[in-house]
Amino acid sequence: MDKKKMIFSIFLIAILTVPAVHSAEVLTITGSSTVLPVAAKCAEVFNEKQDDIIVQVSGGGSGHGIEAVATGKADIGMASREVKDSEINKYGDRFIEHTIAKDGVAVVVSSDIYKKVQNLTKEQIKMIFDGKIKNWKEVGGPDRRILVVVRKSGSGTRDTFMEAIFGSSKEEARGKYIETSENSEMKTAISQSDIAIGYLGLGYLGGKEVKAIAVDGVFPTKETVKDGTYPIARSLYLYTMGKTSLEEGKFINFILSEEGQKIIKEEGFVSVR
Amino acid sequence: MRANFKNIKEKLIEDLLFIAAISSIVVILFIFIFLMKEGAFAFLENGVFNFIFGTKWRMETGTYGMAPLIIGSLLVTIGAVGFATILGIPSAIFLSELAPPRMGNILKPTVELLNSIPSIVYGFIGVVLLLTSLRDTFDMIDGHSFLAGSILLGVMALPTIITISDDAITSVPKDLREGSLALGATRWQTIRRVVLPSAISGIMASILLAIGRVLGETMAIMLVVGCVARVPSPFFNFFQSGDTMTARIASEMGEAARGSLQYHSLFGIGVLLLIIVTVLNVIADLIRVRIQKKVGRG
Repeated sequence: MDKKKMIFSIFLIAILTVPAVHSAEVLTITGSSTVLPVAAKCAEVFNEKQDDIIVQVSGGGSGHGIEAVATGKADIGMASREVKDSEINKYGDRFIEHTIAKDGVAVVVSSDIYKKVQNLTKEQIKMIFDGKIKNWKEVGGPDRRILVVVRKSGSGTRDTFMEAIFGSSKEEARGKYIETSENSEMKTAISQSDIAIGYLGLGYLGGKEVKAIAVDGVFPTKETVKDGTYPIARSLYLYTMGKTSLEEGKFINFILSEEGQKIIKEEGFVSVR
Repeated sequence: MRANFKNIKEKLIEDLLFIAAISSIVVILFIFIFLMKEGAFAFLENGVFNFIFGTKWRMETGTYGMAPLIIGSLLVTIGAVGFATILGIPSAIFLSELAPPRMGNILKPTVELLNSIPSIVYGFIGVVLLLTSLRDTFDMIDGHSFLAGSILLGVMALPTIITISDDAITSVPKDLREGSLALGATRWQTIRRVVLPSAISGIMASILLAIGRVLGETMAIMLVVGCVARVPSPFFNFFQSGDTMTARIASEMGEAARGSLQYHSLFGIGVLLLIIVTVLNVIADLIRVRIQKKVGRG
């Protein structure tokens, strides 16, 4: 046997035996793009920690996640909302819900406004963002116009805000004046102005120039988001169908463990622990 | 044998050069075909009329109308090119006719340097300096506006207008100038009645190229225009925020699911942009050919 042939055979054997050595169980997860970054990060760490299970994560939206888990196309569905009645009617009531994180959105104003306005009702916030209230004096502030800053469509923060205030993420905030791409850009726009209102993910609060106000009398903190008293919040869910399998349970327990919840905090969400 | 080999080598080099020369045409062709293929669906699905004249662009409801973006691009382009023309052409006249050589040696490279500053740097400066000063000067709700975009892109278009107009004015034959002066015309009369009319096609070409540059600019405009796809009221209101065609593509492309209507609609914007820019370039080229014929040099 010459050298070339030998190298080739070794190569061939190596290729053929790799799948045999790594005969791990593959766990597929799909759904909400809000949950996606958290799940993907957790999967990355989880896959490195053990060899028995390989977790694969893909996006597609909450509706897609629920449909996929119900029809067996995926093992776990990710959703940034609860399963709907229409979906339970369609696929049967065998969904098992696992809350893995909470997400709160703070309504923020320029510090000059904060001196006079520290609390708004959901209705007032809706009128402001819809362009029906145009002056701060109508809500007890100074006689200044209101600059409404929002996030671009596709933002999970925008969806949470629109769902809580307007009732649906498909609604339009007609009073908007600037659309920003990121939390940090939103923060810059609000801190440069002295008459602005906008919203930020909880992880981006802080600093002197941008102040979070109370909504219906409740200030946004980790505690008020966790216990559900702060109104602009939602939970992030993983759904399994029927009995949760051993592999599914292992991954979900990992996310709920201290290590998994640390990743959730790093991604800007509120831990459920 | 040796001669034969040399012939083959010659031929090979010739072919390679030909391929290099033709590659840019092939690339343009592929871009056209690809854009058309991806964008055609948007025109069919939205309806040509609704897609171009619709006043709402909302991904949430799946309505895609380009009117706010087209008006936005139009306003910013008119503003920016107007700004650049008013500042740029006098500056080109000064550079080519009046500036002493030593001053020209400093001014020209400086103008060219403006051209090589990355657009994101312009955008950054715009956000930090321009927005707040505009807001305070004009008592606007906020600095994010077509006006801010116009001024920023106007500065970016300046070098295009100055360098090309300068070349056009410089290439006006000396005898024309001297003839005019010999007839007793003053320097200003010579510039106005003789030099500028002879250079007018070059100046027009510079303006058209500036329009192309401004239309295609994305990063800087995205940071200062506000990105709100809404038809301003009245529709020529420079003091309101809005959005442009390029900025909309850039802000939504990352989120658009491949193959969705949103994805195709963004390509639809690209098709329209490419058509506009191509037409502008062809016109600028025709003008350049005309000027070369008239002045009689390459």
